[in-house]
Amino acid sequence: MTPLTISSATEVYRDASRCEIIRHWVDHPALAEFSRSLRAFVQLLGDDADDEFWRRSLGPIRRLGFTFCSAPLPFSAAAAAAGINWTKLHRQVRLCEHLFPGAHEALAKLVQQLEGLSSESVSPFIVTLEQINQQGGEFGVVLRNPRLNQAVDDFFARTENLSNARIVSPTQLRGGHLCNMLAVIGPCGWFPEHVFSAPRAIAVHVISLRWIRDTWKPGPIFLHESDSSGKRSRNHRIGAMPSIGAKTRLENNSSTDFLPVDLLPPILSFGRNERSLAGQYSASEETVPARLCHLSGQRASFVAAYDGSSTLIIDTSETRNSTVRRVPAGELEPGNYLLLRTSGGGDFIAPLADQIMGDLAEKRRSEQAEWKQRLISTAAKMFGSINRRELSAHVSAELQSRNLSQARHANVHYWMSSKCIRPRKIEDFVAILTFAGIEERSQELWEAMGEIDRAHKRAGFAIRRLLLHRIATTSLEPLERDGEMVFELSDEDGGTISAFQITDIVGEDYEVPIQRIGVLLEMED
Amino acid sequence: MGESPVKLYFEDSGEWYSLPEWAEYFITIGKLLAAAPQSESRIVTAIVVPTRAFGAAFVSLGMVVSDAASRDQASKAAHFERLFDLPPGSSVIYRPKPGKTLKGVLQEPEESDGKLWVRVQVQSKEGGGLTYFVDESKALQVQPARHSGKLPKKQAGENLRFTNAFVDKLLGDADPVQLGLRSKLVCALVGRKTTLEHEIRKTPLSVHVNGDHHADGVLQDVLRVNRFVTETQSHRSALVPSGAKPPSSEVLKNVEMGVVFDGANGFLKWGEMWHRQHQVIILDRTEAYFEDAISAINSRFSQNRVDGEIVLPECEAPPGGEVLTFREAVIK
Repeated sequence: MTPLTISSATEVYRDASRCEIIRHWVDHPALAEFSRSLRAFVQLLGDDADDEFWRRSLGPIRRLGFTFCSAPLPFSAAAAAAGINWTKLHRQVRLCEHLFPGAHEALAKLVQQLEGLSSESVSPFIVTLEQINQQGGEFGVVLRNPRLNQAVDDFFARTENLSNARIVSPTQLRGGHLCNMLAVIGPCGWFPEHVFSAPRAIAVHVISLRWIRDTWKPGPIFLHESDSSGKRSRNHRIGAMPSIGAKTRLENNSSTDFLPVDLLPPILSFGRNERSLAGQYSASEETVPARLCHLSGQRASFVAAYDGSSTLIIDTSETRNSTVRRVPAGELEPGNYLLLRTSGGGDFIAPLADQIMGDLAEKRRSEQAEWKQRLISTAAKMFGSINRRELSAHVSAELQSRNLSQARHANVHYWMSSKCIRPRKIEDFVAILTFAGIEERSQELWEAMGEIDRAHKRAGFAIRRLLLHRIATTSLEPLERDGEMVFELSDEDGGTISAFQITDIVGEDYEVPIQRIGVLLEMED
Repeated sequence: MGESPVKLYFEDSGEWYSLPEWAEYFITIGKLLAAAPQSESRIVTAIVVPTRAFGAAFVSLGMVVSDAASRDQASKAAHFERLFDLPPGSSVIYRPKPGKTLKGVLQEPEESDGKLWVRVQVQSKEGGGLTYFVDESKALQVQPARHSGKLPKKQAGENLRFTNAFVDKLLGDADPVQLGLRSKLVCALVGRKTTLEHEIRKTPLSVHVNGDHHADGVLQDVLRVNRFVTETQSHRSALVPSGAKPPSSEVLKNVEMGVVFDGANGFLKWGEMWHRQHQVIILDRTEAYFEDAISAINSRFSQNRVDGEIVLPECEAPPGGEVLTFREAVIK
């Protein structure tokens, strides 16, 4: 993102002082009926709704219902964009007849309603968008679900009255003034508050279904001493804020029965289910400390958080070579873009390093596995079949008692992991190989591991250089708009790499099986 | 800046425009804080804005300008005494008027007409040995300097190392720090280095006097941020990147006036580390940790607030902004 100039910052302040937030309420009785039926059904199920069967059945129903309520697409196009598998859904309905006969009729009716809506070639949002667009000027539209951005953008391009409208993201609305008019599809509560409190447009149109409550208005955020005398506060001031259009404020009082959160498809909740995301693993499985990053589009990924680990990111707020860099987990920030393998998950450096090593790769990897195996099996023989973390604590204590190394158990734990190539110091390497009973091979293995290390460095450098080249020659607008982007490198250089925007980072670390690191996880039910 | 006909301008598409009100607001905040006492308690000012661009840089400018202006008669007297104590032959520079800087060598001081004078020789004997007599009122125009002491026959006074009309207009013409002679830390800026560098080093500004374009410069000329100066230049403010490394003990200890946090991230990481200096926290409504920073400030307001003089500009907060200021007890 280009840094703001004094002129562009001035324009932002101007937008903030003159912006009007205008609410538009739209109707669709059949969609309202479906939404109410769905809510009643979920309430009826209660806690059972979290069961596997109901999650599988209701997940796609809720997702498509939400798509109808949040995307300016003809319902038929929205159904296609949401990628609903009707066959699977019908199978769930048939299964329900056997498993939960009491709920079958209601579920079947919901699916029927949804199919009926999916055949419609209209959306309640489109007419209003077209009317707003007639006012002229640059027009940006913000969606709640960035995964629908491309489908809606394509629809705008082929719709005469909306062909100049473009999709923008809340991330893009952090920069300078963006357009004359913005429209958000859905209640204010579905979007970051800055879209309205720090608007990058002269008018923000909020187009929402009439039956969703929307009470947002600008107000003070600091605690302050209120002055009973009516004089202005000595220590607190508020500048001119965006105004709420007077006409729409009145309409907001009309009866509404849905809260904005009622319609959001459930996601694996933050802070509760991270351990399940880490997957089930046995005590003997190799685990490493990892941090969970929530990513754009209701996805997530674990990044390694052990000593010395780092993750490759794109940071669009930086310039030149700093745009692509490796950072430790503790330095990751929301807004950075995590780079992950597009398919297969896991590390993208190691496969390229193997290519660099060529015919030697297999031998070197086997040597790498061999010394670790010897270390682990010797430790297990000595201290019993305990988990890797306890094992490493015993080895560390043993190395210290034999005066071989002062390494902490966290170091030993890392050296045992398949991620580690070799310790940083040769003395430590000799110490653990002495412990493992293969001291005589220390020099030979140290040099062999050095080759892997160099190949990794070359691979990391090559990927970073290629990405920098791609970034220099490609517009990053799709990345900032959709929160994700695929970068095509050649097959020899690691295939394709995807960047995903970090939306949140869980504060605490988890023990995660090493193969889960860097894997893209779907958070949506 | 200090004198009203001097105004800062910024450039846009080849044209110069006077600084907008929001920028002046930040400068005023810095100036007001610089004048506020910080013995028993310090002032915490939190400013929420729709964009934090340039906010921290302009607050720091206000602090530095105000600090330079606060050199009063007492400091002139003290400086005069110091010059008196320097041995004859000491290297100095002498600035007879703004924009003109001469290398000089101190001669024996003199008493004449019941007044004490410091004597500064600026020409070699071969050139005529021109010597200026400087009394206490102009003492700050003479500053100890590191140069060979070898004087030329003639001096035009256009020494680039010591002459910067942009700075002279903003700070006064005899400021030892801007002359490159002494370092100090008036304030610390905590934020993202790339962003602050763009604002402080790469954004052209100019000084207009009575409406006429006078001199060009950048904020760095005045702020002299330690990370952006060369080894031979003096500094006046410190940059603390909001990355992984905490601020050095030197910066924690030596910042005299205030700490300016450019964004929530640095404030949440290092906000508790400075115990006595004023704090200005500039929060951008669009940034990731905005809500967390608001909670932290509200918590400090409700728990730490003490009575005392607070200062806010008379005008309203900038558009889309909200400002809270309070005093909190200083930890000694």
